[in-house]
Amino acid sequence: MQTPAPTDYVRATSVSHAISLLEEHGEESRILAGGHSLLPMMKLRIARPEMLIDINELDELRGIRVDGDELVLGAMVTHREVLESPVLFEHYAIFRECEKVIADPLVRNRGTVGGSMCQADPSEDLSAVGSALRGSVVIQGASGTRTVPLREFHEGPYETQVEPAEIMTEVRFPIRPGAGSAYEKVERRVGDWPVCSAGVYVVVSDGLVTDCGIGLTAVSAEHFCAPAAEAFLIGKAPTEDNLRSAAQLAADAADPSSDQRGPADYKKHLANELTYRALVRAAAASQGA
Amino acid sequence: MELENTFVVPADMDTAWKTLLDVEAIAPCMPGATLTSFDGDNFAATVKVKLGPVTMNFAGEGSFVLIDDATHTAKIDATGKETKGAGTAGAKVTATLTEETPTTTRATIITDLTVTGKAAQFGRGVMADVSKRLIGQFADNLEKVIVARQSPSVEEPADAPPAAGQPVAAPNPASPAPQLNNDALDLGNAALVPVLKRVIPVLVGVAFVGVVIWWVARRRR
Amino acid sequence: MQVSMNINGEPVTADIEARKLLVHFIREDAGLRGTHWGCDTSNCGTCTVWVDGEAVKSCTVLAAQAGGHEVRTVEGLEGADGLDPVQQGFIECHGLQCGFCTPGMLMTARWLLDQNPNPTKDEIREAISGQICRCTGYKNIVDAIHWAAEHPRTNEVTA
Repeated sequence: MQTPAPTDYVRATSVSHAISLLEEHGEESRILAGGHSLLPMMKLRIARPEMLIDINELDELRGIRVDGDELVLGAMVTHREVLESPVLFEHYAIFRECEKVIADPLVRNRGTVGGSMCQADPSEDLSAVGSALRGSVVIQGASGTRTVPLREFHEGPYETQVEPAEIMTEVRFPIRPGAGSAYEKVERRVGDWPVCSAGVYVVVSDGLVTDCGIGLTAVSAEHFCAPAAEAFLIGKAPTEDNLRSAAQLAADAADPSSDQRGPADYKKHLANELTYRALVRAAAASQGA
Repeated sequence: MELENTFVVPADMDTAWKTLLDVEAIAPCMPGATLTSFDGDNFAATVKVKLGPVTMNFAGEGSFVLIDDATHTAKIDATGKETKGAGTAGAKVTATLTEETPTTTRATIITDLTVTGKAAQFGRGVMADVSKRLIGQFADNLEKVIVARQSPSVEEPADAPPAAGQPVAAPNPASPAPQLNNDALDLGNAALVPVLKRVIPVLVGVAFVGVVIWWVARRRR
Repeated sequence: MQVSMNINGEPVTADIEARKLLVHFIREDAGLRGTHWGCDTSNCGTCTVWVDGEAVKSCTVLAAQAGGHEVRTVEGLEGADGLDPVQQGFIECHGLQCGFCTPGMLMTARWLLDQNPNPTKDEIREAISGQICRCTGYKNIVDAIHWAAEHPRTNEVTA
């Protein structure tokens, strides 16, 4: 039987109200969004916040839109909304492909993009997408807002650049005309965390790769990405040989540990193979688009 | 499971070994650890850890099974229990200093960790990541301590509050150490820490912290 | 703290601890035991209810979060004109054995069919991928939901 430790609960009525509540209640308070990372931890009593600040009424944090040359997702956008969003799918298939293998439909109804990103589990699928696409997040505190690139956002497992009295408000992704993208995941069973996942985008122009991003999760790749693999592909044709070489470089960027999800060498192999498969499909999509 | 962490301090072997033996200087370096008692070769400590949404408090005790000045090796056996839960952990820690160059010394810490209860379901990936980070924090803080000790006339590290225009006096054990990165800490008041001859309990804090990671890593969405 | 919500159209108010989960509020404070409490780890889905028309795992929602919202449980599936087609489908296709997962399956099935009245069997499997059944091997459950899709409420449903 799992029951959270006693706690208090308050609903924020605006982002600034949420921030002032965080300041008021200090480090023992915690934002409650979808709750599907925090509540399970509270049931295990691993997390024991003394005040839960429910931000589910903050409509200002919802919505998916295009803003100039960026896709903007409010922090409270649910996984389901990302999965079903036509505008996201139009620009990057990777969003739908990734969300299809995150959790299950019910969890996706509640879980949010901001919550998942701020939870910063080292196996978070959206982290691979965020790093692959070189997205950024907007963080708001009492003194204003700031933007942090997702490749600098994570400080370690479960730790991000968000300070105690701050809240993430948006996630932003550059729009790249002509990009193809893909996501590949291996999991032990439906809805599980990945053994390894790879997410990529590729822009192929005149037969050569002009831009690409490679994200990896669950394999301890620094900042969930593989920069050497990306750099290798620029200016090269997306041939099998080149993609295989890039995939090997991606695997080199992974430093997995053996655990109940699998042995380290298997995860390394997956980093290689899944990156390759994702690159193949992304490159094809870019050329077919 | 076995964890290995290693770091280098900018000091010769003797200074490094001696500094490591000065517990009052070292204890604040370790994020979250508080020595509560020491008696001969036995000690007790608490560790408070805040990691994202996780806050956990551990209390444990341990003893030295080896201190070898010749090989600069120390071994500790330690056990700990979560103060508000049912998890337990046991750690056998071996810490060895080796000379890298005449002016730098490498510390290698091997932890053999056993956990029971819920913690036993967790994976080691996160554990290794976080212990690496914490050791990194410890090493950074330790470096500041050593640098301050070696060069009393050198300016204090940038994040220390500036002394009012005077050269920094040689730090003595009772004075505040250079400002350390201890934001996850729950520091024991240095003045209360009894005079101790061994430093390694601090390193055991790492092992306890590692247990936290076991807990945190357990997830199914 | 005091929490009020509508469950199956009826207001329910109780003074509870902030940490109380919605599943327990439904079972204890509203006395509706149809919603089951299974794994408690957000995996099995037998606690599934609707909050504002959306299927959620009530073991991973605080009752306080549902305060002021509309909750629908398995007891609310049956209408004045009889069983919901998903309920009938489970009868027709033997979609349960022990019945423990069934409330969650029914709530998810009805939620699916409200959005996608003619799902393929693969879409049904996808929709119930958040539920676990230890008895049936899922085949009869999928058939039952498929039956319900083919016999929507506009038809005469005989009990």
